Amino acid sequence: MNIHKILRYILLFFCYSNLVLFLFLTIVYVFFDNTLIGFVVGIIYPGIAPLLCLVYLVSGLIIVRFSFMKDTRLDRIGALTIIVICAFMLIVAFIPYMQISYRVRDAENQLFQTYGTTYTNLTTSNMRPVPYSIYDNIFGFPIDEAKFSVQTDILYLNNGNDSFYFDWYKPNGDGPFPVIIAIHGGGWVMGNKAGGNVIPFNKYFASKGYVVFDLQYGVYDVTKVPEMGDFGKAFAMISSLITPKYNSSYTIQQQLENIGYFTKVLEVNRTKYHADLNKTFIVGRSAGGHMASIVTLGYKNPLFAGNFSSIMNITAGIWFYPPTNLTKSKSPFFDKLLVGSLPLDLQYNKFSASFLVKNSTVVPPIMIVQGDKDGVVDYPANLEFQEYAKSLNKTCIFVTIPWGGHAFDINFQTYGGQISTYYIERFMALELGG
Amino acid sequence: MEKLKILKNKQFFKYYLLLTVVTLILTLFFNALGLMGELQIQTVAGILIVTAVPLLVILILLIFSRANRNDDIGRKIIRMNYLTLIIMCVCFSFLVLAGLFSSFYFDPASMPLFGQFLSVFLFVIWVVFGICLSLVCYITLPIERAWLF
Repeated sequence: MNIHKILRYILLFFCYSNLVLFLFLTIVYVFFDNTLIGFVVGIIYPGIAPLLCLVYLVSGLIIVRFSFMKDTRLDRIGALTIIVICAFMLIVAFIPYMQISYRVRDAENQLFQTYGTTYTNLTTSNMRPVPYSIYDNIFGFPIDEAKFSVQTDILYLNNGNDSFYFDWYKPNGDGPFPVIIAIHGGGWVMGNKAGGNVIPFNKYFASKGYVVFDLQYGVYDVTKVPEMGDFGKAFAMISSLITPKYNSSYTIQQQLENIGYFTKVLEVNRTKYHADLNKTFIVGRSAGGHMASIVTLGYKNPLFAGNFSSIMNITAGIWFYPPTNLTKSKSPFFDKLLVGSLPLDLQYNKFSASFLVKNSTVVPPIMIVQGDKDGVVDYPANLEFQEYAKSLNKTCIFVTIPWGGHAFDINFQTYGGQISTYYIERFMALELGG
Repeated sequence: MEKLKILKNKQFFKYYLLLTVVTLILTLFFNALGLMGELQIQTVAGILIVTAVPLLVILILLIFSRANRNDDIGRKIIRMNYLTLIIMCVCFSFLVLAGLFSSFYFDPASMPLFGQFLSVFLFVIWVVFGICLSLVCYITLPIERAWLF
């Protein structure tokens, strides 16, 4: 066998591997988005698929060129199969981008219906000029790093077992600045501030004059659920890579109490941190979105009396892909997480946005941002929540990220991060009075 | 099939080369200007990128079918064609990594400029390779034996 033949086989092996890999990713992304692997693929794939299509198109081309060039029936079928596979992957890669204008129009309509001419007359010279820019997708999200400073790992609570820290993103100047409290996700059992909570988002809003606080608030130790067995132990091992080392385990109620304690610390130190607590936005992702929903809707609710700063006024809640309706399931997992001061059934109500939105006297405006291919948190359920909130005459804007998976904004410069930022900054400006 | 014969026409190939080289030069020019942050320029730059990539890919396919493998210059053009294709694939893959790098950094106090520099660098590489390939083809087009027209 000569060297040319060997090289040809190596090249073909490489091309077939490429094609199989991308076909696998595409199939998982399209058809298995509610599985664990589908969730992982859905985070990154839609944002990067168009840039990678050249790789599998070239692979397909080389395969057709070297494997199916004889004019036999079998070769023609083989070549056609490769072409169909490549076309399928290409179409899937561009479907989200074809839907952008439709989803943007939907968000525009909602904002216009809610705010009317205040929205159309809003001064946007300091904001992102377009919902999506190919240029920014390739070269990165422009953030003016000179307009703010960051101080990391500031202690706000030591409960004897664990210490909790936050990062402080301070805009230049004396302020006081509107506040963003950013709550990380991780299914209540893992996660961290900073790298676990979309740093570019925090930086962007700090550069636009918001003082951002990104905090740790504790997680539940899954090894405390014996029913989870070895899976729980394996999960704990993986989660330890992206979670601070906590000595204690924290239920959802305790996690919320930690967040509440932070608001009290902020109240005492508001001058030091240049924070205008009268203009506070609560932003959270996934489980952090759930926490944000409870803070937004519950901070003046008697169920949470004494939990939060008494002078804090929440201007709006921004919830990324949040679970808005916790229902008792057959799994013992949530039962253990929700143990608290009330009987379990009432705890489920207390920690569900769908209950609080009806039973709280103070309901700040809400913006929910979610991808319609979210395999972890039910997208239709959150659309139902929006309809429910609107039927109660509450302001609830829903921005759908086309074909976006769970945690779509981790790769921040792609279309999910761009569209969400575009509407969030307008929503916040409108709630601050334009 | 009759209509496809135009693709094998030398005159068409010449104009296609010109179109590709002009688009690629404009892509480079407008993307460089886009660094100043002007929205209109960035929009044009984005449209040019979306136009330039398929133009270059189709050019590469045309060169594969029209360059003469039995001639020394033709073979060199084909090698350059392969090289451009590989460079494009590698650059696009690394552009993805550069984007991910900009998002997945763990220290808020650091500036993720490396990812952005890498993106610009990779972008310039594939556009320049595309321009060189188009120009080489344009210059060698009068050499009859290098092409199969």
